[in-house]
Amino acid sequence: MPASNALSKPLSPEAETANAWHDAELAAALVAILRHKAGGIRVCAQPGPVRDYWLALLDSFTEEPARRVPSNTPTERLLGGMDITESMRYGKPILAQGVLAECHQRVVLLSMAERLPKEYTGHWCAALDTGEVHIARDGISHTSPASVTVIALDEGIDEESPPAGLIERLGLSINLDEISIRCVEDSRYARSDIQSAQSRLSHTTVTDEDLTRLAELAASMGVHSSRTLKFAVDIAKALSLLSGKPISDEAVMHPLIRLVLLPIAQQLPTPRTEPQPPEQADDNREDTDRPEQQTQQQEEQDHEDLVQAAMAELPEDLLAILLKRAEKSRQRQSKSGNAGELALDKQRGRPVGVRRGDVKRGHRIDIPATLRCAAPFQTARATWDTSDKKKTSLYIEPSDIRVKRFEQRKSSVMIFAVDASGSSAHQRMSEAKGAIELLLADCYSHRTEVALIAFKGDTAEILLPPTRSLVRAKRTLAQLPGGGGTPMAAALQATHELALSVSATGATPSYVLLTDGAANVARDGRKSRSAGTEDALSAAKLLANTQIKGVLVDTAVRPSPRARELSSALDATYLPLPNASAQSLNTSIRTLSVG
Amino acid sequence: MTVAYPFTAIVGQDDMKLALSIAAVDPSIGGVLVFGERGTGKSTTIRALAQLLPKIDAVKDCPYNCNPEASKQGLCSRCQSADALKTRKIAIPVVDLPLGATEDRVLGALDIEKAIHNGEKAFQPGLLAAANRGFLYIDEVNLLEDHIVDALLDVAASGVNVVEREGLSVRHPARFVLVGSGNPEEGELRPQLLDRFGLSLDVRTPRDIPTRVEIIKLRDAFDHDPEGFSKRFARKEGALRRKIDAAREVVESVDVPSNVLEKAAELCLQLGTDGLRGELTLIRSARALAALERKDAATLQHLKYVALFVLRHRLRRDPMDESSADARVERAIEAALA
Repeated sequence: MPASNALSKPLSPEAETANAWHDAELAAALVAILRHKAGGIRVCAQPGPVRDYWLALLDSFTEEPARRVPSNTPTERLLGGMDITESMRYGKPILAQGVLAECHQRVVLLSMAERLPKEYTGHWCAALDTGEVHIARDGISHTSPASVTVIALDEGIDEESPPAGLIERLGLSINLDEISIRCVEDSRYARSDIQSAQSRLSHTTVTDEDLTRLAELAASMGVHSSRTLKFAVDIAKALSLLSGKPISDEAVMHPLIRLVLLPIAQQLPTPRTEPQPPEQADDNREDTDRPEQQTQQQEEQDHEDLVQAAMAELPEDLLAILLKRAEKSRQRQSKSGNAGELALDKQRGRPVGVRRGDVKRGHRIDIPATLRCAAPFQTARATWDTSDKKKTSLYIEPSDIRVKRFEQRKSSVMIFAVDASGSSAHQRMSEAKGAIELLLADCYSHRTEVALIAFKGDTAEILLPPTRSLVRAKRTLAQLPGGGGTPMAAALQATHELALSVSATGATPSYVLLTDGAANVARDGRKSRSAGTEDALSAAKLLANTQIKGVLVDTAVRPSPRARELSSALDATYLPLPNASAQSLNTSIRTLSVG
Repeated sequence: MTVAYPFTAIVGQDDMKLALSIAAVDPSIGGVLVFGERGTGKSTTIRALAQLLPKIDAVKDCPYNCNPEASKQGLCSRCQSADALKTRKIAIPVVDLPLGATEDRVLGALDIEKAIHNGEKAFQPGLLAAANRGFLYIDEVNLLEDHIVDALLDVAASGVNVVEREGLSVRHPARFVLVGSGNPEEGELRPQLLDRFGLSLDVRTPRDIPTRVEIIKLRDAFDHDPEGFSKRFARKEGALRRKIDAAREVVESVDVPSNVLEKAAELCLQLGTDGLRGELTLIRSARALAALERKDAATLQHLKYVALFVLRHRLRRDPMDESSADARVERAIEAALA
């Protein structure tokens, strides 16, 4: 990046983290001022004194302390539903407010947001979007106000991140992990500053130039969502009120870049962006209109300044790291979501209706269904009730009890391990890809998840963690380059590990190994045909011990004895990629593994 | 109830607005699916539609909004047995099917309160009853639980909701326009459900700066003063409402000339779409568009305009071919309508 002047005035590490604390403090003030207008904030931090201090600071800014809500709070508690005791007492469905409605106009601490299961994410997002919860459950339809401000405590390490849909709806983001406790200072802002900014917020306007500036800045960093841009505008207003500076001032722009845009940036800002009119247009303008050209130049200058500012906020390599992280989080979102979903399946499965049952056996009673069963007999039972003290207003007999039935979804994951080595690439790479695409289509109709491992050179790499998005699987596959040795042992090991982690989430793994069987890289990365084969066979035996079903597709031109040997060590079904169509291969694999 | 953002104040997203208007003109087209990245204003646009819809006649006090003009079979059992039907004007219902909804509220179930207090076996109508003759909107449609999808599919296909549970046996009309939105990255849609949507769109955020600035400016003004903002757009809203209303009146009488019919058939044949539904939807959409434009007959231009929305999710293909579906439809359109 030629324009970067990032390191022109290096800061001491202490000063760096002091700045980081100032940012965190500023972010807390912004959340307190804007509340649901900023959606909320993502706080990346491990639990510790700095995070505690930050949360206490936030509480000191608001009238009511934040309410902690665990990320595994289930749908019925989030949205609300039938109040069992009240409903029993009055004999009609009575609503129990859910957590989201209870937190109306409050700050919510969503703890362990990185573990937020996919099926609950939608409820949080809906509340953030509409400021309401709309429920249609347990015989009750109701809309309650629920404008919440979400503090998503993200304790994710490496592979974990809160669902993308949630992140999108939180305007701010900070990372407290880099901050030393020694840098934590007393607050620069008082409660009164917050309140005064809050009261003036609705009178603050943004000029068109400022809006354009913000929109260009966001676009230059690959942030295209209108929602984020709207957050940025409101946050800019609040920053301007806090600092007493106009929006175009760096006291507003720089924190805005650091707290709002950089954390979700998809690309590096380039010094000159596309929206600038082409040179030719400039020439025309020069002839006709000089002053306008000057403003044009001024604007360009402003734009350059902004980009410079964005670039200066973080050193170059940090930006790169950040972008890599963003990339990762995109890949990871589906994975973490799925993990949550599956874990939940194990716990209770998806509800598939109710049936007669009894209370003792640890079933979950379906109250509305039970009431519905008991309802028709109420008049009759009341007349039969001969006891003097008619205390009950409701007569429920054991035969009325209905329990919820859950089905453990038999989720399965098909792991494709694709040999992308030179030998394979030369021979049948495109056929293999074609076969996989057909198999993917088959997985789609079975609603099987797929994962993709590619191996070449000296490593095997998980290109795609288990996902249901076949578009992504296909795209990844299409981009798969070929070449290098065949690290068969590493490939089998990677398949083995992935298969184990899949079964740990409660799903059933199976694998399809596409290779010509010509192992020539040993586990330690040595190039040796004999050691490679030896290691491959021992890894294969380990995998075979897990009893995981697999298929080895021989991609060699002629069926190779080495692939056959490997498949018998794997105890896998051996299928030579026939000279016939990939379709027939598909049929054979389907009958053997999926069905 | 909070004030919804006005439909006519939505910047850009012309395709989405047009598709929703077409679906409002002719409900038999079968609904709209809007897929797209986050922050494109999908739900804002769809929620805004509710305020635009004209009023319709419905039987007074009928929980299913029965049409007094309909034939006997098209009415609920109570309206069928009634001697004289009183009418009232209602706004076309737009019913939100929230995530986490349970079957008893979607399909309807035994009314617990009446049953317990009066020993009366009464049916408590669900969301599908409320949505009859209107719109059923599902945000994050791809995250909807499977058993709810199953129930929906059945009703959407037959137009009748049959409830056989808890000793109840109820059937009532449930014809609704299904409107769904979602982000494809968060999950795929079941092919059967996909097929229920008449039109499908892929929306993106506008990338040019002036449009984006305009979006934010309007949104900012709206947040500042929702009522005042809506007033500013009241006239535009009224004009569009009248346009849709007028189109609803005439759509049945809009002529579809044989060359349009032929081209529609040719397009479907070329793309190998399953069944007749694609062809039918294509013709109806072209007709609705013509009605919106106050034309007496649909033209090839109309057909060309709607073809992509109608056909892009109907191609028989391997499911991963998402990216090229549009291209294939566009090629076929070029070939057939050049």
